[in-house]
Amino acid sequence: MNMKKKILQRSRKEKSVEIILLLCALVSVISVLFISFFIFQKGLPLFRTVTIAEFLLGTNWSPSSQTNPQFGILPFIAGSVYITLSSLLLAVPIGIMTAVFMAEIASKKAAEVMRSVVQLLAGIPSVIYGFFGVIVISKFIRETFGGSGYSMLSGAIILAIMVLPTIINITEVTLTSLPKKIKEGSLSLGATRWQTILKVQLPAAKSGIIAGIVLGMGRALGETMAVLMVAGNAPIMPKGPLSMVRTLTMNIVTDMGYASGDHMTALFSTSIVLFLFILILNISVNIIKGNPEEIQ
Amino acid sequence: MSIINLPAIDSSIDRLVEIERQKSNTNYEKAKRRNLAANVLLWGSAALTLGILLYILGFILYRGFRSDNIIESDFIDSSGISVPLDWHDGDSVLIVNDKTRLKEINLRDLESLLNGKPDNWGNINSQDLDVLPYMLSSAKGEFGKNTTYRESPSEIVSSVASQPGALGLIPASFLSLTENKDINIIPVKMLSVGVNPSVLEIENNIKLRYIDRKILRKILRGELTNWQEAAGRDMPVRLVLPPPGSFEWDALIEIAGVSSEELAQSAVGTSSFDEFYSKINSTPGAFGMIRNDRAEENNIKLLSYRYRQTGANLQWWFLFEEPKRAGRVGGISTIVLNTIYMVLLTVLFSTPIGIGAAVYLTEYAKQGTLVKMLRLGTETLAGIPSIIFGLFGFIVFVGAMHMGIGLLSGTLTLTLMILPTIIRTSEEAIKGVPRSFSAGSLALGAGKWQTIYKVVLPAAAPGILTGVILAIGRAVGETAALLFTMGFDYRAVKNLSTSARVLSTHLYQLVKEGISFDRAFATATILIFIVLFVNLVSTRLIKRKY
Amino acid sequence: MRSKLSIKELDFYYGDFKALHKVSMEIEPNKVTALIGPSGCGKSTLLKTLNRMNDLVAGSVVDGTVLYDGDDIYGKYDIIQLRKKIGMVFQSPNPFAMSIYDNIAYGPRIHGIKNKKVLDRIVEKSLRQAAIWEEIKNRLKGPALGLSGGQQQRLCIARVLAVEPDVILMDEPTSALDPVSTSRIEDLIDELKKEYTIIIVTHNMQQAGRISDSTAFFLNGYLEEMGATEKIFFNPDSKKTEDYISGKFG
Repeated sequence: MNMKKKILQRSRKEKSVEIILLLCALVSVISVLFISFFIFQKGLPLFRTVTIAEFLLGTNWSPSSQTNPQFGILPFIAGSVYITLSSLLLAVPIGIMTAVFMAEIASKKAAEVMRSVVQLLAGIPSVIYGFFGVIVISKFIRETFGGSGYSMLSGAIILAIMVLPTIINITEVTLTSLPKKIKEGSLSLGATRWQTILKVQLPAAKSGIIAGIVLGMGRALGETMAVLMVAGNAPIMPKGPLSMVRTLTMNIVTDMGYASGDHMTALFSTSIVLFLFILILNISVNIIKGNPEEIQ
Repeated sequence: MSIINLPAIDSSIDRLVEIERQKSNTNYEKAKRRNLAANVLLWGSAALTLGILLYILGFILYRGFRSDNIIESDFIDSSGISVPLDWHDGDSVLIVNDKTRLKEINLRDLESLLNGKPDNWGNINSQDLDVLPYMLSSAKGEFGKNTTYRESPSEIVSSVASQPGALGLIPASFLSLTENKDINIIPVKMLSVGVNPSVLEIENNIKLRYIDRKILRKILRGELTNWQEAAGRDMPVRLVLPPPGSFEWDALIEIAGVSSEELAQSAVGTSSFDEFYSKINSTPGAFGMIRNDRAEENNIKLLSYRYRQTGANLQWWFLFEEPKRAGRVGGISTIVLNTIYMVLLTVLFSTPIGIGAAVYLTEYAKQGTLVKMLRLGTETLAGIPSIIFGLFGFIVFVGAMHMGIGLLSGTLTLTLMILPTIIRTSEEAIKGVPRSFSAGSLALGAGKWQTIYKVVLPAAAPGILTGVILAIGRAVGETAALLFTMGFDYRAVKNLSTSARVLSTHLYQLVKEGISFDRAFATATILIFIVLFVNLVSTRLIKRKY
Repeated sequence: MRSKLSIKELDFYYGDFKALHKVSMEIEPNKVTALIGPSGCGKSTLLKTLNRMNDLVAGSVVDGTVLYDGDDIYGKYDIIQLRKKIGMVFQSPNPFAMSIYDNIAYGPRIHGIKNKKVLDRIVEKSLRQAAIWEEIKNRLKGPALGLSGGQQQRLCIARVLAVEPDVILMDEPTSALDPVSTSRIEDLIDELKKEYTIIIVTHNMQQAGRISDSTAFFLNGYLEEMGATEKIFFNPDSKKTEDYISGKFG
């Protein structure tokens, strides 16, 4: 009898432990749901006064005007897109080649060193990247091309450095996880290493590399501090690599301190756009990763 | 029957094949050259990546430990220990208590200190100390009301030696008194570059903005005879020499580095100060080294002087002194303390939840929609930009839950941010524990949770710890999520709802407000050290595990 | 007859581990030579030294000489040229993730042949030689990874043939295949030896007996015995060879 009671007690305890653990596991899901819910709840009311088209395609951002407030965020969408794409333009070739070096060329020791390098680059806080950008990169741009130095180009360079680790990491992991026999097959036909890398290994690692690039894109798009410090933050349509830009994230962070009313709502609407961008990127990473081409 | 069954021989194509094959036997050199070029490219990329890291780290650490700034000022960077001041007969020596961090001072700052404005060292050397001037009683009444007068130089020395923040002027003839380890003799910069107003006029959009030591020397030696050569207007340089034997004369000879015969041929000599000042004012293109405090009374225009100032930057006191005036003065002790509180609280909140979630995912959950959903949730959470976490914290913790901007709101926001890192690494760690461990325990009749708690989790501890440490690294560096949740108060937090500035937000403020690059570098250096430490520890832990 | 490959006093190390001890052997042209022996005896290692695929293994050291048509392949011999001349078929089929046509054309293309007509011809000829043309001629643009295991392995053989090698090394080419595919490949090997010199590593004693002209038996990194296949199988000199052939170990 006593034994039975004990077992019953224990199973009740096991059950409650399981429920507590489940609750822990649910925290992230619930957070995601809450985050989405609150951002939409705070941001959607803007569209009672402004149409979605006016919001997304308007180029005039003067939210605190007393007479005729304007909430066009096209300049920020354009700023985010331009700055992200140009940072990838810089980071992708260097990132892929560095990853190829680590996976194919480097000795074990050199690859180990490079892995620490990449890990460190990933670990440097964005505010330090921003500071470095202010001191070094903006200065370089100012002295080379003139102007204030706070520009899209400065932002893109800093972002390129920041997304480099993401691209290198994923590309390297994908390359090293490719079956060795593919490489051997090519080399045994008399191909050079480079031919093997270019024609066989990189194509086979395509989906992983693309996933890495998309992840990097997400990181660049969501980055706030570094671009805030170097990109100039002017709420106008970007005109070229040397013009000051404001991205979606910068728009949120710049006005948040003092905004109120519709202005505040518009910042949350801005974050909806950012959130949707990121969500789309995340989903595409999942699709790409879940569908690795027949590498075997 | 042969299985090799070639179609009707088309001799023209086979001949072509043969020719191409022959060619291909000789042209593999091209492939090899390409391979070599590619190798260069690959090595180059890796070197670039390495170079970027080393440059960033090296640059910040260098400037963190060594202040290295280009300064434009009215004063020439040449200072003397014995200085001819009107407050004493003959030369004077400035002494300060050695708790005051001061290497040199210029005459204008010294005068304002003696006049009691400011009455705090902050503006001069960023140190939060009261200014306590001591003077000989013969100068009674000439200075500010916080100046104390003493009868003899030795009394001044002992007063200065006993109080941090104290400074005093004693006659240079009493220099031997200063052999006291509690006081330091501080050199005073007195000289400026005085020019005839014509030198500073704009001509063809060109205006002389400053000169540096190199140009100064050239002028003194007569190697530079037209202001054009110093980026000024087209006008001859006329060096006006101070009366021989004066303080200015001696300083000039020292800077020129040549004997008085070798000074500029065209130099205009003077025999009295009145003549000296009037020559400068009346001669077009005139130039003279004058005492800064005499410029105004003699109506002489000053030219900026540019020099490089180097010295130690980050030192221990920076970590242990309290910040004052938004970090302009003092160190960052309270900010470090706030950072530690933030890390501890964040770890306290996130670790149990993270490990619990990882245990559930690895040990309890059955594969299916629920697990897929949980994983998707974690992955999505990991991808959300920190600014959105900040917004969420702002609406929910600060607003809806009435916690206000403060430590608790900030750490809860961070907790959500770093949760995915902890869950993922803990999951890996738990999966890495051999099944035989838990099987052994279960076979002994231990319950599932008991087994996990007593066997699996201890075995997975190093891996979990790695995750926690990586998460700490992320939390310490985070800025955007804290801007609207944790606030910027640089005083030590008193309770959970006190606004708190941490290292990352402090760095941002220093840069944004342009407070001080030296201080920004010092703060960034500390952040870099934390990042290096986190990386070192986590890689060590990972290595030990395998 | 002059040897195609002559191996003299070959030592091979993986780091500290010595995998081959003073191996000397002669490979005759247009013959099938089988390398047999228990796992870890060094037969695959020897095969890989013949087209220097062992160069890929970090810490490997070769001592001794391998002469191919009289030239030392570890001397000044160009490695690309060598691998072109001495092709290799691997244990499990390893077609690239591209079309059948591109797989076969890969070798000629990397060696600089661009002419479409020439490539077409080479692809067709190689696939016919590998006895797979009839089965796949209608889906040359289809993915190579969509073929069955046996077809993939013949495709890999065709891929080697497309660069017109002189010697073909086969590392247990049928170990991952079903019996029907295996027998097709064995027929193919028999046909190919008219034009090529073939060295095959196999675990399958019957296979060695069926297809090889001479056989070399390896044990613990030593070449225990080599000779005509019939002699090795029915009248070996070494007791160990006899034990292995009769299935007492291995």
